[in-house]
Amino acid sequence: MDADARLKVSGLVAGYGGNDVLRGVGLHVGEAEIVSLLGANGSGKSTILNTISGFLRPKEGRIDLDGRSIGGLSPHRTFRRGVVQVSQARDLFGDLAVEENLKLGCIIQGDERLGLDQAFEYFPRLADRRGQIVSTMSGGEQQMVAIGRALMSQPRILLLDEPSGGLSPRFVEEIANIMHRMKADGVTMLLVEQNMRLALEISDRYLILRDGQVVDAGSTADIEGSHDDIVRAIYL
Amino acid sequence: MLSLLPQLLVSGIAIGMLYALIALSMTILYRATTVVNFGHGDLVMAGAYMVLIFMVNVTLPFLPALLLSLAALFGFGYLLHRAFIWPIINGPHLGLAMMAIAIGYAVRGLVRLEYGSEMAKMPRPFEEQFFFAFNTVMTLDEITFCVVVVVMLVVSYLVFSRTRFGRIVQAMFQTQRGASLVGINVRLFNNLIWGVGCALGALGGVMLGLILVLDPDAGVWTLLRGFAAMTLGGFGSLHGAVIGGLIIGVLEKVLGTYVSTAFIDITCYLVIIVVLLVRPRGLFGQHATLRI
Repeated sequence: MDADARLKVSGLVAGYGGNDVLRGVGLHVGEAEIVSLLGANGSGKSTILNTISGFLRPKEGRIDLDGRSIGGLSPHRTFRRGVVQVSQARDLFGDLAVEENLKLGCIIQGDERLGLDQAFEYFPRLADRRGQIVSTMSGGEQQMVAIGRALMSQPRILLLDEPSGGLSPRFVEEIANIMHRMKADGVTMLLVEQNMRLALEISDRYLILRDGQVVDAGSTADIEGSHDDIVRAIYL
Repeated sequence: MLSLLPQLLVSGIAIGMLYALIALSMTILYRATTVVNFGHGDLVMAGAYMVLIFMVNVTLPFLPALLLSLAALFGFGYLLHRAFIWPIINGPHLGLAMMAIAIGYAVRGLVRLEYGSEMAKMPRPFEEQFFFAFNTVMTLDEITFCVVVVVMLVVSYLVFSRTRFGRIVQAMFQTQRGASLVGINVRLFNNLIWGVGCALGALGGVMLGLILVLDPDAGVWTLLRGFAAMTLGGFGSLHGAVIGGLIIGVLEKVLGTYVSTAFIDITCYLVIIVVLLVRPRGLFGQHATLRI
């Protein structure tokens, strides 16, 4: 599985200034697989996504997508290779309408008609509000726009940073349902999520990060029903 | 006394068109990078000086000189952002302001190398003419300003609202990280926008060269009027920049005639002070904060 991984990261060292947040991280994500990164705040989860996306340059290590190196590429080049991130802050175009935000998701590459159909199929609520200015929407709806925008370019892999962060339980449930559908449709995802129940429910595998290193990993099927060991691994 | 008013309005609108163009060029830079280029006035004047050099030293006709000047300022703006602004874009706001001012002064210094502190006159591309209508007079220069600026406004509007390039710039104005997340090469587009903004400013400078004697220090004069128009119209608003420029042009003429000639020079300062105190987002701006 490792050899023909969609995304493969090995020996990754990265950080801010002289401070190394990631200290030799390795992981892989197979085609149509969902892998969750778990860990306490400051363990390096978002830093991994930002380094894969190109917002941070790796100091050491390799990042390969479909066998080709993408390590150190700038964000727009990484995007063109098919790596699309939904950031924690969402980074939407707040003064633009929903449909305009979605269309901008494929302004560089992707089929606009196909993308819009897919986004509105996943998020029918957005179809009803396609003309609404995004900054006037609730957090949950904005998260839908962010995920919909990311899907517009038909990415090879989706990097999701805290998709349920700050959302009401109703929207968390709705986002979870959407992610189940995306999983069924074969969307490959690397997920950072604080909501462990959600992360383990939709992921095939998990990795636990602590101080910038992977300290535990496994299949979510193997730990079904008992998450205590994972909580211990994360926090103790 | 009031019989002068129509004439003052016509003359004010004509000069206001130039302020509008300069403000528009500054706004375009601001929309892309949310940086106010405090060296912009010197680049505006550099456009006029480039035409002067191409016409006098290289003996080119006006039109090729103008096109070469705009191309040179486009290239300069592109390189300016690429080499000096981008590397410090995430640094302190004060650093960006100081960099822009320093580059403006460096450009002014280059002009001084050739012309010292002497004033120079850009050769005229056409003879001045006067047109009379409804008890007002308009010069051919003023008509030229109006036509050129209106054309540039229409082109800018079409580019920003109807083209892929415009959509990308609009996206970058909202969030540069968001633009990166949808695959936009933010650095390249910022370079291009700075090139376009400088070329547009240079066009304003060339038109100013029709009515003003060129002075290496005139950059401050143009910067303040552009900045005042931008402040009044609202930072980031293209139509606000234009309307702000027109209002300041008219105010200068009206106050300068009816109150005191001193108002010709101080109107732009007063506008900046009053707007920042009373309505910081200007007439049409959406954001009160800006990166200097």
